[in-house]
Amino acid sequence: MTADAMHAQSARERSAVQRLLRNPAAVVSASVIAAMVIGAALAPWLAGYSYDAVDRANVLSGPMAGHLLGTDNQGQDIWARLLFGARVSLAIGIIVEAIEVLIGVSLGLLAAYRGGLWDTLLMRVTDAMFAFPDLLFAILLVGILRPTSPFAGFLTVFVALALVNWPSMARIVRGQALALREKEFVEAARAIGVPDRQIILRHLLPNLLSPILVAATVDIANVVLAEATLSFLGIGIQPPYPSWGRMISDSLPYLRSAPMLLVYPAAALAMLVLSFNFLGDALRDALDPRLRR
Amino acid sequence: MLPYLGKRLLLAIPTLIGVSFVTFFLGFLAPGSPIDLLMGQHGDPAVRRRLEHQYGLDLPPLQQYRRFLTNAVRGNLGYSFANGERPVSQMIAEQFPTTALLACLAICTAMLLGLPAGLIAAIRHNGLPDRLVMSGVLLLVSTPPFVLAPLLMLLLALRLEWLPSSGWEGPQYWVMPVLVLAARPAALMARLMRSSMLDVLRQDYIRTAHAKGLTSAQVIRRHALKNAFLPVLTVVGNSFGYLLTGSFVVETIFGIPGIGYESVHSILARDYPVIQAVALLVATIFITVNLIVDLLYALVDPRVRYEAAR
Repeated sequence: MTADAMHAQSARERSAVQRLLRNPAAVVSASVIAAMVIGAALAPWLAGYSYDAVDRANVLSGPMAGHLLGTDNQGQDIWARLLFGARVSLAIGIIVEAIEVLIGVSLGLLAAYRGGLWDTLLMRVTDAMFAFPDLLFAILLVGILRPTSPFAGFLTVFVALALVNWPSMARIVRGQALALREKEFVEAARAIGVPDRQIILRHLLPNLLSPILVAATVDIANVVLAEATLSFLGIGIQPPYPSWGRMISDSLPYLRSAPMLLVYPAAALAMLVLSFNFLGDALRDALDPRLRR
Repeated sequence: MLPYLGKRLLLAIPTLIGVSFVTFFLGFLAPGSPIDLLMGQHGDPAVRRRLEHQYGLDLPPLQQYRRFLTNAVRGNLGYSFANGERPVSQMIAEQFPTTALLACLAICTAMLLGLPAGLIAAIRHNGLPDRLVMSGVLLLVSTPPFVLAPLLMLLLALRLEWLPSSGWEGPQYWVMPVLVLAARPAALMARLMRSSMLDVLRQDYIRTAHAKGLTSAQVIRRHALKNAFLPVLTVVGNSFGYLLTGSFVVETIFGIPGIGYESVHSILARDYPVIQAVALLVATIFITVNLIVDLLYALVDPRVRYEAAR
């Protein structure tokens, strides 16, 4: 890359960041996500209790000294369970998304660049996957495999969600890469004999970063929701480890007497998902002003 | 058109076989035998053998699968392990109408709410209505049914006491489940309707229509609406997949005796014949609805021709 091109690119990135910072929704949602990441990372120190500590003297108490948000029907500290639940949501959201990006980008690039059999194969497999509602597939998968140990439980949720979500990413990458492949600069690179590997890594991938970033951000929201749904149905993260989805389903019998049991995890979940959705929208606007409407 | 229809129907068969294959063999990966469920407390090996034979579990896996497929084609979906050995097809026949009613009401509600909202947002582009609609869209997309349902229940049933909190006995019981299910599809339809309408409003023929002196209302009604609605059709089709999944959650929360409620119980009870049947049913519905949507596309828009090209 020439000095000029490098300068142009860094200027473009700077202006994208500036556009992002000028968007109040983006700043607020990024801050919410950052706060939740910090809370989740520091959960053992911020919580004051372990996620499975039981205070039998205080069951279903309101906010009080020692229990910031009160306790649930088993005498467990709600604030502590919210913080540890954030760990589950964020870890699953980010790790599953990372796996998905890895699979989706490699298969999408392979299909677009090699074409032929690879492309046909990818399209047929993704077609078949799209022929079935994806969250339902995850529910059936986790429901049938319903593991017995907590660790296997985590693993099954990861695998099921990653397995179900990669096709859309692969399709996005394939579509974008197909369009880029026909651009003059790629043709020029090929004409002067740049090897395929370098064309993919130096020319295609950098140009694919923004659509991948946008799709991944919005997709994290869907993965977080999917995990919460599995846990809500009782087949996701298993107790004693807390998950927001599980906290919501556990709160339902106490809807009349203790509605805050529902409100805290529901608000946390909605806020996290909303933030990822807002951030994704803002990223799209900032990275590709042409799409702005 | 007809060859296209034939091709699509033929393509649906391998997909259905794939779905049945995957769900059937997932059952073999599962820990524990479903027979344990039927045996309950007593451990008599003779009873176990009799049950294994009755359910065909003593056959080799591939033969079991073939038996499952041939029976499924004849409308026999096997017998429930958990539910007093009842035929699965009978259970589904009893519960499906409830879920179908719920899904149809929800899709109609979603269209009634989402399409006008998207339309108004597009017409008042970047104005206050646009901002309100788009914020509402993000809020609804981010609020899962298992959050929305208890919140509505808390407000409308427990606090205001306008509606019964759960059950399925008459139209007043339908309101909350339908609203909860319709929320996300409505939001997605509004978003797509808006962007599609904005696309159409930029076209040359819209400018021509304005130039020849039509009022804005006429331009939108006669020229823009039909064209803008086309892409939204796809969302309507895809929403059915979401509605079927959403019914798992909504029927469980509101205690509605439909397929979703039954499926959650079957999954928790490891009742494989029911799970397999539900998977097949959902795949069939989803494929059929998407096929209908694609055909409607061709009917509504004469430019879309399904020739050998696809």
